[in-house]
Amino acid sequence: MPNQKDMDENARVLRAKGGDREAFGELYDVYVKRIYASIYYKTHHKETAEDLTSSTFFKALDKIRSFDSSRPFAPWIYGIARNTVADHYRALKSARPIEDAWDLPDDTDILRDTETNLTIDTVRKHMRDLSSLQREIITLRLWDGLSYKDIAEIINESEGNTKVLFSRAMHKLRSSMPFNAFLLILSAPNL
Amino acid sequence: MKIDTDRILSELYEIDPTFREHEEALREILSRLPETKPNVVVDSAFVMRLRQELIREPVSGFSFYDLSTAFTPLYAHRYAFATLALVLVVGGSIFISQTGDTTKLAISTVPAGSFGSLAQLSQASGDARASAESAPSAKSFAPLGLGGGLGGGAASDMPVPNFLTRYVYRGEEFTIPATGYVYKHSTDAAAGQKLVNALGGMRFGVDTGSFSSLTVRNIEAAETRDYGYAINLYIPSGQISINANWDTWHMQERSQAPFERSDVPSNETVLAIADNFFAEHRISLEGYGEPVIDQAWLDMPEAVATSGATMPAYTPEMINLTYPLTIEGLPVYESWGAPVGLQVTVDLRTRRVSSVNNLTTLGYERSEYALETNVQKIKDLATGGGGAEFLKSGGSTAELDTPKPVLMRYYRYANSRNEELLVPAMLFPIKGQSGAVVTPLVKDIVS
Repeated sequence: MPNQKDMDENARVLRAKGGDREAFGELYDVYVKRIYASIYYKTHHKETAEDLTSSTFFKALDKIRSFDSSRPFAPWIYGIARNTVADHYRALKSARPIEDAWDLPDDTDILRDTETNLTIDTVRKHMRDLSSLQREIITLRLWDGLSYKDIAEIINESEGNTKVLFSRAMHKLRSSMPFNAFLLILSAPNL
Repeated sequence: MKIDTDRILSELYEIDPTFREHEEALREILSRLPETKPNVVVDSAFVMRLRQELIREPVSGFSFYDLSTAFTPLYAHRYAFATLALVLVVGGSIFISQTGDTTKLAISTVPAGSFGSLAQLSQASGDARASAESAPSAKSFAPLGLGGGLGGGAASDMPVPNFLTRYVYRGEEFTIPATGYVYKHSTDAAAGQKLVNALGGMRFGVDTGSFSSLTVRNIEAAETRDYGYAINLYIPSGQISINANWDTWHMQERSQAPFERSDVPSNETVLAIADNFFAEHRISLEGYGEPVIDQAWLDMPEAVATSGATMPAYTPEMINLTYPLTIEGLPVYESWGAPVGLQVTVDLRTRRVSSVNNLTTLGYERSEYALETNVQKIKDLATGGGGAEFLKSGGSTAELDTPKPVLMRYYRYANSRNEELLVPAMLFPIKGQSGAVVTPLVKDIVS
């Protein structure tokens, strides 16, 4: 049963689909900080995150008329953000696939945002062993609080596979390092 | 950020009951999670400015505002589509005319040592130690989506950390020639500038001539038909990528339909899908070897019933293939052992190609360089000498087999651009596993 919040959002979506720019602005107000944060987790660079956030919402504005309003809005806008980040890194020339800032060989951007360099080497070494998809699922579930169903839609996977991927990511973190380091990885600031 | 600990735990136990053994520790972790979330501060001026731009009504006809989005076509306004088509046609014709047939292998020889000293290659390119230390050592090796990864449409890359494994050489004796060719990827650096010149006569609402050294770097266009694609041309490196335009792929129906392991098509079918795509779009595979299909998902267990709960089997919905790049008979590898080549992803639900990456122009210059002929030195490099820590608490030993000559890819940042170099190397297969260790041979690098 949809709650009041969902109903309000659906109403905004319907108005935005009809061409009401202010309604789209209201959706923007709800999601801009979450989308910015989601992009920032992957880029660790303010200007890049702003550019990609801007791209995300312009793309959403362009496509809102064809959006299926029977579906939840959050996975859709997160999915656009995700693809925008992927396109950004795909355009970079690199010796290895780069899907987010964790794959960059230069630590500068990430170190800039950390307060504790002491833990970052340990954290980085083991987080790098995860695939970009695994890191993404962990942050979407544990930081953004999205449901497995929403995450599944964002990453184009079934809900069952998403749960399996999350579980395997957690197992991998725990098995690839001593347990106290596993605690560190989930406790490290600005991870 | 508040976390419903009991709910998260309940979800974890449902997925994998073995997490129950660590309940106390997990509760502590979850209780501390609110502190771990990065403190991301959004610039309020940026938020307000973007909102104003978004809710502004579009103007009729061409305007700088509309056309400023024309070079990022996935959100291009409808007025810009015609411009995009023209840009793509003009850009594509310049791109192709300047680089020749983009898919033909073309190699020219330049004097020995023409690429300068290779001794100062950056960490980003990978150095001799990194190539040995970063090599995967177990079945979970998954370079560029091959083997051991979790697939799911993303390029998995989950090598087991090298500090867990010590290598021992158990192959036959081999020799190394005194010299070998280093290859440098050549592109037309001026192609982007020429494109700007060609567009200079068009009225965009901005005078491109008023900007100095302007060059087009990226062109992208997307099909809006059913199961359409988006094509991206990255002009500086001569690289083309083709990706599904997911908005046209009926994703809603997809997420609701079940997909079981039995639905995964055979390798022959997957290969046929890829071959048909190349034939339909007249993409030449000259310069690429036989495709290698990612089989790692087969290593994952079937659904397992444990203590009354069932952990479902992983079923991939995407399969990756690599068509290895081969230069004058030598296959090309990354420094961490992954084959370099054309990356193709096949969407198993729709049985269509969903992406093609690393399609690039195949023009190279080659220049002769001295190689390290001390075989023991190369063996030592391959077995990890020089820095890899060996865990006292664990670690295993893996055996390296007789190496074969290959080319290893490096990147070097010079003259304000990335240069791709392919250097002579040896690939040491890891016995009994799918991974390999790749060691460069150029004396500059090894020294």
